[in-house]
Amino acid sequence: MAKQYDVLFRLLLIGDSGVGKTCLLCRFTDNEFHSSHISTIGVDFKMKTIDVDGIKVRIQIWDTAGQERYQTITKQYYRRAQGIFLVYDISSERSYQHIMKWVSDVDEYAPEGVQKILIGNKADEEQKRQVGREQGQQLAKEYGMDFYETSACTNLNIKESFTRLTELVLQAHRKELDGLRTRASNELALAELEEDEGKPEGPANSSKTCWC
Amino acid sequence: MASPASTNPAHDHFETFVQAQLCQDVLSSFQGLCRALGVESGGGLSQYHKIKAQLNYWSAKSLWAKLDKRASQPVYQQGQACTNTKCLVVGAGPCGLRAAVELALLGARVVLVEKRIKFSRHNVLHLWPFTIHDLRALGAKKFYGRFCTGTLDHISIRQLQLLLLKVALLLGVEIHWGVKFTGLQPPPRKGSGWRAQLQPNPPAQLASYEFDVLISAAGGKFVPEGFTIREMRGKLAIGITANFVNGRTVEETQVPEISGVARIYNQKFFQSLLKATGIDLENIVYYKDETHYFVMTAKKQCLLRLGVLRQDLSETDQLLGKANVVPEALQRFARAAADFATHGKLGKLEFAQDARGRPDVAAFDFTSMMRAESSARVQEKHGARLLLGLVGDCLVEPFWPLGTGVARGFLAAFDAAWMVKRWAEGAGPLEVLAERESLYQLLSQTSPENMHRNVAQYGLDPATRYPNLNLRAVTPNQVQDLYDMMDKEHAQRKSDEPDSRKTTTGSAGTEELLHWCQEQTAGFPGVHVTDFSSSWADGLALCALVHHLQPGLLEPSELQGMGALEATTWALRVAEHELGITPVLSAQAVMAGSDPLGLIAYLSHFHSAFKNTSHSSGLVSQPSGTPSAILFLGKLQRSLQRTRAKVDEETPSTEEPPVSEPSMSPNTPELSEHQEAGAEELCELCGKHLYILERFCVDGHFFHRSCFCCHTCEATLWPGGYGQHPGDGHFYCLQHLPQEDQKEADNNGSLESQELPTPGDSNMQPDPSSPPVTRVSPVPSPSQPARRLIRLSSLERLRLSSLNIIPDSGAEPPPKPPRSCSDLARESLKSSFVGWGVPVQAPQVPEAIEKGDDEEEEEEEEEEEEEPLPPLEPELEQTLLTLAKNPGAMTKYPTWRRTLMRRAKEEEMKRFCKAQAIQRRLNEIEATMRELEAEGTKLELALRKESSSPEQQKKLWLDQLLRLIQKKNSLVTEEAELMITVQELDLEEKQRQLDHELRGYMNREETMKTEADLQSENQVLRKLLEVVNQRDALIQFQEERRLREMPA
Repeated sequence: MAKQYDVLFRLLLIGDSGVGKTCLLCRFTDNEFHSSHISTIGVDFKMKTIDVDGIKVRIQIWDTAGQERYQTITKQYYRRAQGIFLVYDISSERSYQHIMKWVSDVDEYAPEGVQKILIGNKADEEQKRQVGREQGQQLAKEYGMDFYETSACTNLNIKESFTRLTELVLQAHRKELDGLRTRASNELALAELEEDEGKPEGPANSSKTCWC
Repeated sequence: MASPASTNPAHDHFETFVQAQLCQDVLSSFQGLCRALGVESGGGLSQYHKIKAQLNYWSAKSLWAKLDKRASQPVYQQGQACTNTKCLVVGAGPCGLRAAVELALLGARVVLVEKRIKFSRHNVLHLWPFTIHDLRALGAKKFYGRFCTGTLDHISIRQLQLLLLKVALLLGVEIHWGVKFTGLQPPPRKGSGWRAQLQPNPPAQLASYEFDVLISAAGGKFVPEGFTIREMRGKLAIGITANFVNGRTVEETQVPEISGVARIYNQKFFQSLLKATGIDLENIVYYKDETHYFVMTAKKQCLLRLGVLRQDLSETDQLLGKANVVPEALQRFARAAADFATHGKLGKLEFAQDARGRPDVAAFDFTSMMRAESSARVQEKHGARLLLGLVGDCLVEPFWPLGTGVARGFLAAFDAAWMVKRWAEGAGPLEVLAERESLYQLLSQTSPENMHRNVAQYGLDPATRYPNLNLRAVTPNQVQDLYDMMDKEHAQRKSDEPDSRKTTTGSAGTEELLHWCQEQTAGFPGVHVTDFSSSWADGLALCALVHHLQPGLLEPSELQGMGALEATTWALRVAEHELGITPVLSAQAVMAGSDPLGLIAYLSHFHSAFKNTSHSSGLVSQPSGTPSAILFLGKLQRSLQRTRAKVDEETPSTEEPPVSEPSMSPNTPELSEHQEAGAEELCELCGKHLYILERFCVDGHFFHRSCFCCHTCEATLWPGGYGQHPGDGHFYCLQHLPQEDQKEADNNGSLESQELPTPGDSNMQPDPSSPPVTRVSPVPSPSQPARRLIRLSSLERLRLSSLNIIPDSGAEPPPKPPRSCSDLARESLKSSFVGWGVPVQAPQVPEAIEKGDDEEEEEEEEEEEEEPLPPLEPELEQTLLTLAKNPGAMTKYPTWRRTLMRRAKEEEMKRFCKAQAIQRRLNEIEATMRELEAEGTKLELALRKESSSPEQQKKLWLDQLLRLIQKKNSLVTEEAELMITVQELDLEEKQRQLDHELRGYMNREETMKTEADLQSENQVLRKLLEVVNQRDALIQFQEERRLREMPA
C-alpha cells in the first residue's frame, strides 16, 4: 500500500463552552461553518492530513466539550496530545479570563513537552469585542505561546493556526523523528522502541520525555 | 409588477416559455417567442444576442444577466473559441444538454437530436455542490423555483432536462425531436464531410448536415462503433425505484427525507423492516421532489418470497424480465417499504404515472456496470477528421446510490467541451485524445471532497475543477489506437495482454518458492526442506518458518515434547493469529503430505507477505503492509467471540472449550476426528469438495466462500462481522444472530458485541504496558481468570492479552491515566454525572441561535422559500431516532434541532455514499473471486488427474495456479482493507446515534428525570465515549501499520 502520510500527531482543542472549538475544527477539516451552537458531548475527533515542509502530517484533532461537567472526561485525553489549542472568544471576557484555568489544567494533565497556541476566536464579531487584540498577545507572551485571532465564520487564520501548531509539534519532535527514521532504516524495528518505553529508567528515557 | 395582460405578445411567449413544464410547451412557446421577435431559431449565439436585444422585458433581464456572466468567462473567448466547429450531439438527457450548452457558449454550431418526444423521467438525482452552483448560474431558480429548497439537494431528471433545454434553446442550439441516430456516414469522397444516419426521415437540411464533432450522450445502451466497453460485474444486485404522487400537503412536507441508510452500518433499521414487513433490503433512499422518490436495493430471496418474482432464474435479464415480475406485487413491495421508511406518514402513497401512464415503479439490475475504455476517438477518412466524444451513461454508467450520476456526468460534459475547444484551437488529434484520456482517468475518483473547494470558480478549464491535474498522465503514444484512419486496417486493441504479462513476471514459480522456504528455515535443528510434502510432515519446518518470521513466540526447545500434529496445529494457528495468514489446508493434510498443491498455496501466502522483508537482524518482522488488515479483522472477530463466550459462560456445556478458543459448537463435527489423514478437504457446511482456490478458513474449519453466509439472510459473512450461535451452530451476520441468550437487550444494534480493541481498555488492565508481540516470554497477566491449563496456555494468554489492546505505536509511551489508576478514571467518570442533577447551563447560546439559519439558507437573491419550513412536530424526530422520546424539550430549541438535522443529513449522505462505494467494490471482489475459483478448480483438476501429461505442461499449470492464488490473496487483502473502512463507518454511525440519544436525555428537565433516566443517560455517555475510543483504535491501527511499513 502506498504510504499515505509520514507522521501522526494528536492535537487537542480546549477552552470554555461556546468559544467555537468545534467550529474551528469543522472549518479546518471540512471547510464548513454552522453558526448555531451545538455543544459537544464528551469528546470527538476528526482527521486531516496536511503538508508541512514537504512532510505529510496526519493530524488527529480532538475536540473537547467545554462544559464543566465533562471535564473529568476530557482531561483524560490531555496526556495523549502533542499540541494544544487554548481557545477563547474575543466577545467574551470571561472565556479569556478562564484561559488561566485551562493553562493550569494543561500543566497538570498534559505531557511535559506539549506545544501550545492561543486562539482568540470569533474575530469577525468586532462590534461585540470585549477582549483586545493586545490582551491576547500579552497573555500569549506571558505563557510563551503563539497567538492568532481567528474566525471560523469568515475563515480567518484557520489554516494558518492549525499549520502553525503542527509545525511547532513537528519542530519539537524533529530530532526524535529523524532518529526514528534512521533507526527504522537500520531495521531496528519498533519492538525495541516499545520496550524502551516500557522501561522506567535507562538511556531511552530522554527520548521518552520528549515524546510524551 | 407588470400586469398579467401584457400588451407585448413576445413577453407572453417568454413567460410561457419560462414556466413551461412540458417539453412540447417549451418548444412551441420558444418558436412563438422567436416568431414574435422576428428571430430565426437555432442560429447559435447570434440568435441569443438577437433575442436579448429584441426582448426588452424586465422579467428576462435577470436571466440575461446570468447567461451573460457565464458567456463572458474568458475560456469562451466571447463565443469565438469554436466558431468554425460543427457539432452533432446525440441525446437530450441532462449530460447531452449540458454539453450542448457548453459547445454553444464556445460559439460552435450545435445540432442536437433526440429520439424521444417528451421528458418523463421522474427519478431524482442527487446534486453535488458544484452542480447546484452551475445550474444556478444558468438560471435554474428562474425556471424552477423549487430548485434545491429541501433538506437535501436533488432534482428530478425531468426538471433538470427542462431547464437545460430552455437554456440550450436560448443559446441557439438547434434541436430535433423524434429523430434517432443510427450510425455515421463516412465522407464518400475527398472534400465532403461526415454525416449522420438518422431515422425516421429527418428533414433534408438535417440529413445533409456535415459535422466534425460528434458527442454521443445517447445512454448506456448506445455506444458508437469503435469504442470498447468494459463490464464491471458485481454480485446480483436488484434496484427498485418508485415514485409516488406528492400532493404537497402539510403532512407530506413534514416527513423527513432519507439521504440513505445502508445495511453495512445500520443493521437495526433493516432488521425491524424485515420483522415488520418481510422486506429485506440492502439500502434505501427517499427524496422529496416533484414526486416522493424512493430507491432501494432488494434481496432476491425476499422478492421471491413475497411473490414479486415468479421464479428464481439464473439469467438476470430473465429474472427481472417482464414475464417474471408481478407488477401488483412489486407495487405492494415498494409501497410497504416506503411506508415503513417514512413511518406511514406519507398517507396512502399513490403511484405517480410513468411515460406510458402506468404506476411508476421499476425493478432493475445493476449487477454489471458498463464503462467505456476510452472517452474519445478520432476517425479520419478522405482527409475529413471527426472527433467523437462520449458523455453521460455511455461513458460511465453511474452507480445510483453514489448520487454521482449527474455530477460526474457534468464533469465529463465539461471535459468533452474542453476537448472540442482544444480541437478547434488546432491541437493534433493524438494530443487532444491524450489530454482527454488523462482527464477521463480522474473521473471515477472524483468526489465532492477531493475536488476544488471553490465551486464558484468551476468552468470549462479542467484546472478550475480538478486539483493535482496532470494533462499528460496519458501520452499521445498511448492513444494511437484511438486515432482511426479508415484507410488503414482497423487496428484491434489488445486489451488484457499487458496485464497478464505483468503478472507473469511478478509471480513466483514453485522453484522460487521452495528456495525461499529453504532460506527461511535454514539452520533450524532437524529441518530440511526439499519438497512440498514429506519435508513438512513432522511440523518442524512450519514451526521453523513461523519462528523465523515472528521470533519470540516459541522457543525451539519447547518443540521438544510436541508431536507432529501438535506442532503443525500450533504453527497454523500462530500464523493465522499473529501473522494474518489464514490456513489453506488442515494440519492432518500437512502431516500426511497428501496435498502438495494446498501446501504450495499456503506457503505462497507467506512468501508474498514476507518476501520483501529482510530478517538479517533477527528482529521482529511484520507482514509487509497489508496482511495486517486481515490480522486486525481476525483479532476483532476473536475478541467478538470472546465477548459472546463470556455471556455463555454460565450455560454449562459438557465439553468446555478453553475460553480463549474460538468456540465451535458440539454440533459441528470436529475436524480431526472426521477427517481421514490425507483425505481431501471438504466444506464443513455443504460437505462437498473444496478446491484450493475455494478454501476459506474460519477458526481452523474450511468452507466454500459462498457457503459461509448468514443462516438467515444468506449474506456473505466477513471477519469482524459474524457470529456463531452456540445453540444451533449456524453462522449469522450480526443482524440476524439470535439474541435471546444475550443478557442485556442491545439497544444499539451490535454495539456491545462488537468490541473493538480499544486503547482505553488498557486502563482497565493491571498490566497494560506489555506490547504483546514483542515479549519473548509472556508474563502471565493477573487480570485473567485462572483456567484449565493446556499445553499452549502461555501463548493463548499472550494472545488474549493482545486482543484487548492495540499495541501502542513506537512513537509514544503507552497511555496512562492521569493518576495512573483505572478506578480513579472510573470514579471520575461517575462523579462527572453528579453535576447533572443541578440545572446546568443550557447547551445553547441564545444569541447564536437567532442568527442561526439565515446565513445557511441562501445567498441567492431570487430565493423563494416555497416549502414551508418543517414545523416543529414530534414526528420530525423520527429520523433522529431516539430524540422522539422527549418532544417537549425539543420544541424549545427549534433552530438547534433544525441545524442538527441538516448536519446529520449531510453526514448521513456522505457516509451512505462511502458505504455504497465500498459495498459495490466488495461485490465486485466477490464476483471476481468466484471467477478465480472456477479457473483454479479447472487447473487443479487438470493437475491432479492428468498424471500422464508431460512435466512441462504440469509445471506451466502449477505456475498458473500459483498466479491465481496470488491474485486471490491480493483480493482478500483488499477486501479486508475495505472491511476496516466499514468498521469506521459503522462506528461513526453509532456515535451519531448515541449522540442524538444523549441529547434527548440532556434536554429533558433535570427535575423530571428519574433515577433510571440518569442511569441510562450515564450509560449512553459511556457507550459514546467507548465508540470514540474505538474509532481512535482504528486510527492507531493504521498508524501502527504505517510504522511497520517504514523499513520497507
